[in-house]
Amino acid sequence: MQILGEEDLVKYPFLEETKEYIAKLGLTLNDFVSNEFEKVIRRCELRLMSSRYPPELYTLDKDTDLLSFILALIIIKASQREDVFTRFAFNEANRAEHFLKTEENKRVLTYILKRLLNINILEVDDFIGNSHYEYAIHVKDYIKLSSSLKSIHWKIVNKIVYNGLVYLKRREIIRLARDKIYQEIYKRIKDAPTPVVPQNLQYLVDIVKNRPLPKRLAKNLVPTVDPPCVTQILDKIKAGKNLSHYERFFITTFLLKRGKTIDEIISLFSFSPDFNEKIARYQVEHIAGLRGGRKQYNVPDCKTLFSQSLCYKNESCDNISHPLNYKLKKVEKLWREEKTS
Amino acid sequence: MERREDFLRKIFRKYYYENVHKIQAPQRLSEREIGYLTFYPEKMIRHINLKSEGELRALLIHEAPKSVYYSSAYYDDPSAPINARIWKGADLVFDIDLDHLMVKEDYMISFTLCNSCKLYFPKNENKRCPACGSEKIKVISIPTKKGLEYGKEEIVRLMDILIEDFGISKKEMKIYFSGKRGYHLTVENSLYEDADQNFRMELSDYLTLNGFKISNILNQEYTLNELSQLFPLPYEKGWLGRVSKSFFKDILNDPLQNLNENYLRDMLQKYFLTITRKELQSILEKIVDKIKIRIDTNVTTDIHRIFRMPETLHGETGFIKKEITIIESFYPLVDAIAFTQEPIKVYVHYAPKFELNEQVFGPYKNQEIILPEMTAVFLTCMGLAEPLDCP
Ligand code: SF4
Ligand SMILES: [Zn+2]
Repeated sequence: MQILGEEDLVKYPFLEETKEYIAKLGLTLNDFVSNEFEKVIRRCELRLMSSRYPPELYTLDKDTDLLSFILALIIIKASQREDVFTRFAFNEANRAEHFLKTEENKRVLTYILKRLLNINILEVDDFIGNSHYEYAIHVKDYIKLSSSLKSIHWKIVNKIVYNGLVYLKRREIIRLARDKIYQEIYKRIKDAPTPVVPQNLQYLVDIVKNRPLPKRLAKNLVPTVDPPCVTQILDKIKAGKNLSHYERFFITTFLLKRGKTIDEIISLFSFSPDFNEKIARYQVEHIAGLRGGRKQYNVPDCKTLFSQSLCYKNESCDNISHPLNYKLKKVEKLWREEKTS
Repeated sequence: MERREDFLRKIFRKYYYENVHKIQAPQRLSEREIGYLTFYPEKMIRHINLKSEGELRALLIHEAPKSVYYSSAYYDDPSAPINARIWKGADLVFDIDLDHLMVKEDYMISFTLCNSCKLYFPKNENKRCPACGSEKIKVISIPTKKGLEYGKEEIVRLMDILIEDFGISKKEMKIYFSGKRGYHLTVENSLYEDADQNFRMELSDYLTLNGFKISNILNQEYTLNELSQLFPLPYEKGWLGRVSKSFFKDILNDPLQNLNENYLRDMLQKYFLTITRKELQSILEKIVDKIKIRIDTNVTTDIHRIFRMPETLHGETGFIKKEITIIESFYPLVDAIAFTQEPIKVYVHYAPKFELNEQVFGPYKNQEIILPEMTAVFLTCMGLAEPLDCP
């Protein structure tokens, strides 16, 4: 049974189903050079230029939205700008969220949600207070999907949980789906082979290449580079040497901030000859704010590390004042070098 | 010192020898880590892997440990160091301890031991030994029947939430008296077995209402009058329904016989005319604090926890960690007693008046006395008495 119509494919161009549709059109990159694709090219330029989409991209343009999306994917891949991969995926995910929120056909909405989230989704129709709950998903699925959302609004304690299901309002489940859309688009660009772009379209690639660098690079996408002060301690751990109290404290705060779990950190400490799991767990949990004062400790800055004789500054540190800023600087530098060479 | 441990170890061994047929290994024993605490010197032995119930029974009789533990987790190789094992999943585990419940005087009998001069004295406010002024004092607590009954209510409320909100079936749950001051609940073979630490933290916050926003109910966008039409009703799902139930019962004194929506909303509307938003906020905060489940969150969120093994003896009391089949008719201070009425002579340093197996004992202070075995073992385990004649 065909649930999605042609218009849905245009509206949600990231869906797998669009690939088949596009294939049928039998287009090649060279075709886009011709005049009949003028409007598609304009729309694509808009997608490529904006670090935040203008309102006109939030209205549907049936004739150009699907093709300009596909073309943008290709051009962005050709630019090899990782930061634009993520920015584009983010913008497209926001745009899709907007359309999903206003989707009038519930069958299409449910279909897309199932397709994206790849879990069992129940349609429900519950009113509690003045909230309308339209979907329910298993609490295990819910916790996995919501784990990157930091607001306490998303904790299950603030949700309706019943019989193993979490009840969700339409906009909530769409918000969960948005992250999946982001990931899928990003992956699609990342995994694609680098295309050869015809000369006439090369200027589109240049538009992307010349976009200004973002202030903050999305942190989960750049390779993790540890500053010398951290490498120093990690080497010590791996060599089976004992750490001082402060070294332990610093490395724990740093790794927690980098998203390592308590268990991962403890298993790292287990290399130490004086390892005692109970004590290590207690300390790590304490620093993570799970115990005692329930306050998560901050990562010490370079000045503090220096006064603790733990700074091993070299030229790669530039002039940063905090070890957490290390990777950003370093990666930005690499890119700048790449651009000028 | 050794004399005390020697006495206890012998008597524990006697218990294991006579009751060995009753000891059933936890399910999937060979995938769990086993650990135990020896009497003297007191030492924790961990990373043991037992293949069968027979091996477990042999260990109990042979070692007569002070305490025996099993991991709630299942591993590929339970005897490997913790970071070299493959974690395959874990039972959900919950610990309700009188220490974490709302403290009321008559839930526990508490007194103090000074570690400097070994004086026992009633609990006092100034956190110092009245004789030598030392601050090295330790509070010792004996649970009362009343306290343990209250703990039962808490475990029943926990079961209700696990069933209603998480769809866990009664079949998947087992409850135990912990052997000391509380109760354990484990969920085996459920679809939550593979739940990671993040899930368990969310679950534990859910149960303890940690992070619950009062604004889920008291939405700032509405007036109190409007809220009387939006306020959750007692039959609503999840915590909202429970908050509402408590609100109607405890605040509006309604027995909840009539669940007609108009009737309930009328009552809310009238009541909301008499209070301010701030007052309502504080009423709701108090309700949340009252109805949250007071589990020990460290236990539930730890995916490598070792847990006392059922039907084994608790080294600090001599009670059995006992499975409970019918909670209403289970009385820990009767049903979890392992030892007999046989008379034993002991020297008691200190003991308040307390109850065991529906008999009242104490108070005692620095005296030799002949007590039933069960009482002598209990006081010796608690460190309050020394055995005089050994079995
Ligand atoms: S300058 Fe900062 S980042 Fe670099 S080694 Fe010193 S403390 Fe670490
Ligand atoms: Zn003293």
